[in-house]
Amino acid sequence: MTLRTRKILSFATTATGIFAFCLMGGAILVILVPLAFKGSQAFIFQDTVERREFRLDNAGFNCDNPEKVRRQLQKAQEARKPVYKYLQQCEESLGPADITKRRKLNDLKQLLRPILGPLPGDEKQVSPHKKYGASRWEQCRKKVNELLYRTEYKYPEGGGYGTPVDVPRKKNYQEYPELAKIFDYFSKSDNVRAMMQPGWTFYWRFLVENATSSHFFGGIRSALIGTFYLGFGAMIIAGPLGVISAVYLTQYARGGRVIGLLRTCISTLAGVPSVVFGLFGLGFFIYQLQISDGRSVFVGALTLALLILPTVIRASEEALLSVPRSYREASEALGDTKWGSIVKVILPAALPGIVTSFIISMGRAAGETAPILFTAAVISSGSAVGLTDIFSSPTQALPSSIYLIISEHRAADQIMHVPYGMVFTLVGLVICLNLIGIVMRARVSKKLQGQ
Amino acid sequence: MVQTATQNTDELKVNLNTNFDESANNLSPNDVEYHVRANDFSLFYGQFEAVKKVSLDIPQKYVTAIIGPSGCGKSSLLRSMNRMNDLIPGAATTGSLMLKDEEIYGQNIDVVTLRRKIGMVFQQPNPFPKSIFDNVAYGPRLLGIKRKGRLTRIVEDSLQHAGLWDEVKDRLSNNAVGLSGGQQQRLCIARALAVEPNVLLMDEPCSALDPRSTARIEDLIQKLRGEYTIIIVTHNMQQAARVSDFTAFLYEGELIEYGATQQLFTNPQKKQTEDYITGRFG
Repeated sequence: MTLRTRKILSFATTATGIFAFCLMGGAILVILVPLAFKGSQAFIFQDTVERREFRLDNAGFNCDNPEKVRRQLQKAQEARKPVYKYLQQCEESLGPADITKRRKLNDLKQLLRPILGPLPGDEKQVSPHKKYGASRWEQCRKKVNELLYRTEYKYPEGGGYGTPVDVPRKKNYQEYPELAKIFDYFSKSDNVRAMMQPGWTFYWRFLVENATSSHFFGGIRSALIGTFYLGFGAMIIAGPLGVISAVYLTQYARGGRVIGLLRTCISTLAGVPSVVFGLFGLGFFIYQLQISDGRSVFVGALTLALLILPTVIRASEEALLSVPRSYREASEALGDTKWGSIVKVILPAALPGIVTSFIISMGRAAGETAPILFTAAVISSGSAVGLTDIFSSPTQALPSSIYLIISEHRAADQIMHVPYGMVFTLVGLVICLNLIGIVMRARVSKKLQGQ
Repeated sequence: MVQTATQNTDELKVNLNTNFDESANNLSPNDVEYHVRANDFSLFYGQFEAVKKVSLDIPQKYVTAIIGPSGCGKSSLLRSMNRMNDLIPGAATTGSLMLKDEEIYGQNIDVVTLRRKIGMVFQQPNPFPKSIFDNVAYGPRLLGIKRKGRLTRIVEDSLQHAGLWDEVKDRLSNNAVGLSGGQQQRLCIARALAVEPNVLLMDEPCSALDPRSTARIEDLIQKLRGEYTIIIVTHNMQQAARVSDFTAFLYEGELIEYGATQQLFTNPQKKQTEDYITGRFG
């Protein structure tokens, strides 16, 4: 090989390396940036006067400045008066035979309610998402758009797919001047702003408030606490078991066939799809052992513990093996027993690696969906599960709630900020846990080198 | 070739004469009371016989060196004396190895008690990743000494003994891993001395150290001589000649020659010994 080819080869290797690195960085950016953007909308967004009113009315929620909110409410009511007036005029002019007009009026009311909340003359509503109108400005604008335009499909001649076209709804109401005026009123964005009073808000309480009215209002406290219980519980169960197994495998087991088989099993277990663990948890812990009547936090933590156990064993084993053999020799040469030198010298020296593996496994357990779907998760249990209820009651958890809201919530498109906020929180949580793990490892290894 | 060898031997002679302590000069190992006695002792790792029917008496309170080329079984022999070979799977022994009148590989021996009587210093300095104080106090704590005052005294004594006290007395709570290699090795010696053993085994204690640290360790060995029975395995023949009273030469697991150091280096009885110490092989 000539010098020239070697140089080219070496350059190509470097280039490939840099390319792969950039690709990875790009992928991370592509994933994280939109996620951060969407997720942060759960925390920082423009809310409307309706949301402020909700917070004012409900004692559990912290309202920033009641006086200001009341003033804004008054302004909003003032701005809404014309709309209510037109509706009333229309209603008054209704004769008993005006069936079409009544239908049109009702249709319009149906479109107005999601924006303004209950209209004058409506029955009293109980559920918050019916009692209040659009709580988020971007949702409100969407609703206003729906009010003003109707989507029609234009089909090309000779068949084929239609193209959606926005048609002003006002056209259908030309015969009814009062109702047509409402469209005119809503088409001016100043009027809409006056009715809804949008304003920027930083809703950090998203993390610490319970969800209300199936996530239309409130935060994700119960899911966050559920995730904490599950992750921490899994670690408490899997940690000691994993460390003890690793101690056995590295310090006591002699390399027999059974041990070899055991090791193979552990590696295989680490690669088993997580949904299998979920089904196992359901079948074994709930149906067979009947630890709880149905899903419960404890069973979920047990299942997650099984899931992370192989990883914990592997990582602890590695940490234990990285302790120099000479430590054990030194301690045994001083007359310590095998167990004594394991407890006093080997485990402390391996501790940073072990704890790091705990923290990273905890992050993994916190992020798993499938195992808890059958064993611990519900879409909404209202408030957070108390520590005394973990053996009997199921919980919300971030990953499963994300899945359940998106797939099963009947108004998922209206509360998309919630799953996005959850994803954002979850990713943040996992990144934080991993960072803690890395920092701790670095600090302790520095300490072990005596700085 | 022959000429060079003779020259080497001459150099050694000069060296030996300047460094040797008179008292052990003309003694034979058999004249002194023994502390460790091997009788037809063999050590196997599975099928491999690492030590072959070695018989020797190691005299009490003198320094005995074991020399020989790599893989000759000298470390294995040393590690048999406090049963460190138990850690290796498949190790087995035949023959007898006595500590005074105790059979080291006997049925009723308590390995833990045995090891408290026989301290050991390893090739690589291996302090625990704990504070200097905790390192030295490790052994005494095993013996059940808990009182802070007593521990402090033992730690100070041991460090004084190992000649490390002045360097570390102000930073006993610092991590021992931060010390230099030579200091670490002296700390390991202090740690071994803290349990007040009778025998000190040293497995190439200077091979990982620079010449200056080596010199300090050698001084220390000289200082400890007369108090402890010291058995040192070394690659370095000059070192063996400098520090030891008696020397055993092992080759391929067999004891080739054993005698007073000066005699062995100046007037070897066996051809193999002469070849080795003049640097013809190994």
